[in-house]
Amino acid sequence: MSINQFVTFRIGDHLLGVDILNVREINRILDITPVQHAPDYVRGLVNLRGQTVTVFDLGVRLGLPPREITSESHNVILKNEPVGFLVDSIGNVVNADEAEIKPPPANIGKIESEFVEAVVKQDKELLVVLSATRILEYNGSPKRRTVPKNT
Amino acid sequence: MNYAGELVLGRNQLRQELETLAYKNPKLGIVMQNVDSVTSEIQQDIMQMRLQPVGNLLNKLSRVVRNLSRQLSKESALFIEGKEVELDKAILEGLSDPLTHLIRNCLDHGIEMPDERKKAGKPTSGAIHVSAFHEGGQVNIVVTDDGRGIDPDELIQKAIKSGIIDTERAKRMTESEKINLILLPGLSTAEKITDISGRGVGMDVVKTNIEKLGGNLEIESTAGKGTTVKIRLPLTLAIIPSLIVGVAGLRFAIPQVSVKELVCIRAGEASAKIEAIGDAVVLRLRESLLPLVRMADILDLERTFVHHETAKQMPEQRERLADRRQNRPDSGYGTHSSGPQQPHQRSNETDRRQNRHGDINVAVLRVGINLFGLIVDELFNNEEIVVKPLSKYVKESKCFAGATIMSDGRVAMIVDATGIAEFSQLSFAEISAEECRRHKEETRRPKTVIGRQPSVLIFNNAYNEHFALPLDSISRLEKIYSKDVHKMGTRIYMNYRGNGLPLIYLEDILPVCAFPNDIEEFFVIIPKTNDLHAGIVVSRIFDTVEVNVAIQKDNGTHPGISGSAFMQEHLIQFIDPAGMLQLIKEELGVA
Repeated sequence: MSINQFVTFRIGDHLLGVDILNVREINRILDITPVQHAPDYVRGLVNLRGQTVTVFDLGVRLGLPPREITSESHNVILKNEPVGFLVDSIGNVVNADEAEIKPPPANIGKIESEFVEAVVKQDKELLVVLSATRILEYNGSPKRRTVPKNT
Repeated sequence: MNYAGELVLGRNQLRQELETLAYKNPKLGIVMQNVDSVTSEIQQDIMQMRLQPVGNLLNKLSRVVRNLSRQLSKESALFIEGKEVELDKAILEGLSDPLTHLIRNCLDHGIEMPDERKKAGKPTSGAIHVSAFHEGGQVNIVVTDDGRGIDPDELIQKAIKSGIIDTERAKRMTESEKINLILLPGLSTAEKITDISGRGVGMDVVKTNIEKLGGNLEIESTAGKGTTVKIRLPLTLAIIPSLIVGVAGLRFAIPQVSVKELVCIRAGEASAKIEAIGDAVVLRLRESLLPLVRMADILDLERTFVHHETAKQMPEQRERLADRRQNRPDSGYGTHSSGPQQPHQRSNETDRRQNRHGDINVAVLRVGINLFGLIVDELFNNEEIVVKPLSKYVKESKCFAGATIMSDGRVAMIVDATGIAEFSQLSFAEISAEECRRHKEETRRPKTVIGRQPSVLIFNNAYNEHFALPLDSISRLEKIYSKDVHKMGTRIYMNYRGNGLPLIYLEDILPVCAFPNDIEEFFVIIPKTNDLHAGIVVSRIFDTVEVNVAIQKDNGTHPGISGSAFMQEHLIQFIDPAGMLQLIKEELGVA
């Protein structure tokens, strides 16, 4: 029986996690340069040691309001893609063996169910495991507002 | 290559940090200078090593064409242009496969068999043109053949058959969308599979490869005439000098190659130099018209300016640059918000527009042969930047060519002039037409001075009678509504600058048809005179023209009329201003 490890973090009240194997690092580089005309869930770009990393506002991506940057905010940088998730705060690394990992129930709060991979029952609350791949999958076109013609 | 870029970046960061320390230890400055120059040398050398003429690659294509032509028993010739254009070695390597594939496509699908070509009235030998050229900091490679082209309807049929699109969608597609279907995987127009092409893994692979290099690809085709594939390769893998500008507190880099010049419009001159043509706002710059785009609008950022007293970014109040402040007295200039504004306070406000900080900074950018002005809030220095390609999540932002890391470690976006011009839908054609028209007018005007042909205002009293009055005898032209006309005795008056102005009907003084009585809105001509206070009522302003015909004088005419002539297919009666004034005086009883 294999043990899975999850990096956990919070968006609002939700305890969320991603597979630790998908995560490169967690940092507090929050000097984010916005990119105009990008999809609304793209918060902007940051400089990660000379590499540009696209930061997703995980709140917006999951169908919640945009996150505010506080002293607890962190970026969860993914391993395979130069993408970071902006989250409200970072939690522990949770170990769970396969038996504990359950398929997602039909209804999990306000989070877009398409991003949920599994749930893990914790002592007090439910850890919702997100699929990094599905969050990254590009869908929907960016919001393009028409430009006022008067300059 | 990447390391060379990082080295330059590191050098920039180091230099900035050292500047704050240099006063403590003067030796630091010397060391820094040394490192600085060596880094620049290394960078230049590496760039030179990496840059190779595209000809090396294009020459290989001749052999492909020769071999394939023989194999397919077709006749064709390859024409190459722009061999000297230099490209980064890494890009050239990545370009080899896609280009070969495009040439194969031209020969196998495009160019017809010789007898077929003869029937279509084309020379038996097909022509394939490959040309490379620079455009706005990018390298374009265009492959054109004069073959049978892509039949959009045939493509649609194939696409429907293979389930890529449904018939409903097909109906809504434009020609160019249809042709671009060929870029989708699994679609081939070749009827039978050969060992050259037709396996359905064609254009989508080419497209993917080009996109891997950070470029893009467009196809144009006319059935029966030929196909053009245009590859645009961006400025990736390169260190480019850029102008750094500021908008709404953010910084952006504009590649120096697309910057033609910088123009600063003094705050006081803005309303004189900037005007609107249709939907576009243009700047008059040395005899030509330059369409203007406000970067803040394009990027949905707040319009700001730097306030001269507080040096803070303030939100900009004016909606249009062509707007004059005095037209919007209630718009609240927003900067001094203490109590009700007194008129003299307002004059203080306008002072700001004379101030340096009210100036408008315009970067004149080049897009192909066209120029446009990009309005930015602040202009900073030039910096050498390393282009980082945009990740696929922000690729849709067409206004940007990439991102870069500034010397302070922050990310800045690199502006794509072409993208901005496309996004703001600049109507270059409309503006250059207007420019042409003005030039013509300019060249025509001196002639009229020599010829001394006076301009006249043509107007109607009764709709079927036309009259002309020299423009230089008219002081003002007022539009008036019938409800604003006041009757007093037998005379009518209008309110003109707070006074009652007596109005004269033309039929009161001249033997002409009567003024239409059902008219709601009409005009009043106020003649230029020192001793007469009156206006002439006219029903319609017809035109203003130069008199280019001879006026026929006949002796029987009335003293107020100097003659008549045919102009613009109407008989025009020319009014003699002096005679008319005399008649008005008599009518008013002031003579």
